[in-house]
Amino acid sequence: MLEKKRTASILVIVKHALLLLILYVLQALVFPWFGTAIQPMLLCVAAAGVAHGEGSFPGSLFGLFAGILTDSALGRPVMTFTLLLTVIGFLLGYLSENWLSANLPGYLASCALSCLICIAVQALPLLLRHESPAVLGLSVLVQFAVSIAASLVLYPVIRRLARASRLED
Amino acid sequence: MKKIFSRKALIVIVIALIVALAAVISMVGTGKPGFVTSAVETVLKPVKSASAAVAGTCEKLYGYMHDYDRLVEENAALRARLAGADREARDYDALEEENIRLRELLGLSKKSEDYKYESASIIAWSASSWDSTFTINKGSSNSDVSPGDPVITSSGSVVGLVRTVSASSSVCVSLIDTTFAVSVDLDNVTGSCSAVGDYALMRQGKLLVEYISDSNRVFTGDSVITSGKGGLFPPDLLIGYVDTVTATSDGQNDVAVVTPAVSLDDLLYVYVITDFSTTE
Repeated sequence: MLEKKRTASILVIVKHALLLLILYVLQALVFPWFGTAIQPMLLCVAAAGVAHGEGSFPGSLFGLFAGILTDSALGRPVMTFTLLLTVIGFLLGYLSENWLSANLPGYLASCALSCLICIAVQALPLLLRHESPAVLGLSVLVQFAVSIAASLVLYPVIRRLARASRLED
Repeated sequence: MKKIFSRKALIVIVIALIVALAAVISMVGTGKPGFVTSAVETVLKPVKSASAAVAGTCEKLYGYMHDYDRLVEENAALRARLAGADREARDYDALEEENIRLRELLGLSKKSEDYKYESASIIAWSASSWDSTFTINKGSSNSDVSPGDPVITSSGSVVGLVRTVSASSSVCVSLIDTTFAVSVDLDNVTGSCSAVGDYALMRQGKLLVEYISDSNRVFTGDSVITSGKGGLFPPDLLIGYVDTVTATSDGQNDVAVVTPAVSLDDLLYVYVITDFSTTE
């Protein structure tokens, strides 16, 4: 019985790691080669989704690794998103444990909040460098929209992961 | 309602804080991304390299299948240009001889440019929609690359400059990034201008030239080359060609939109100038 539970735990961890790896490859290596101007924030969305589905501890842990990979994907020093996604994962996990409903609207609200924070962190320095607010605003909206669309695509995968995680608990 | 800080979640946040703090401390004063970032980049480098290799192979296959006709046309055009270049080379020899004679007459020494290059391949482009950076496979352990080094193509066109150097890779800023700025010269314009990245133009793959003193003498297709002022880039490297010239609202200094000479989408290999000195 104990052995079975251990195997299930390892399987859940492997599934999460696999999701991280696939999203990293898509975010850092596949999308940039297509040269699209605006790309979805896949890892930010996934961190929010896992936090919403599984709670504050798995959310913050997933956020930590997603943050490290996001910093690497964006060519930044390991810092900003590492800290940001860990805190987002923790806070959204806490919100979902206490207030947010465990359904699609709750999931979308979590993803939207995470995306807005992550996009703002990237757009703000450009705004301070006197770039056109109108152009920046449009880019923010487009990236937010494509990220939310990506979160809908990811929803079944993240829900299944959350279920597997709850069963293992 | 649950207690806000469960012990496990608190531990994770503390770990994230330690990682971020370690990254900051290892960066301070060195200008390098530090050991934390270097470690992550080293772990992820095989994934990036493998992906770059797969992408390179796919692009080659696509090129073989779809670009054959275009390549034949390009080949014919290049042959025509080569014939023209041959003629120019013959003229150049005569001019060079005349130049040497005149220099001797005036007692001037020949201008010499000594550059040291480091060849590198691009292993990843930034996934960010807010900047234009790329990662090359050369770092502090396998090359002399350092922050601020110019990055060019084999034909001498500017690609960007090195921003941060990790152990096995380096992050470079492309010439269309919003943080890029270099002093440039324009054909027929006296005085140097400044080529800078602009967010709106970055999305179109272009950049801006500011502080043009005499825009009446700037035309579409004019070359934009580095002036060498400021010491960031050596002189006479090609940035791109003027696309459009626009008057600014104050009417003092006009700006020009410039299309880079290098096609960033097709770029796989670059050269980093690790040392340059221009002497008269």
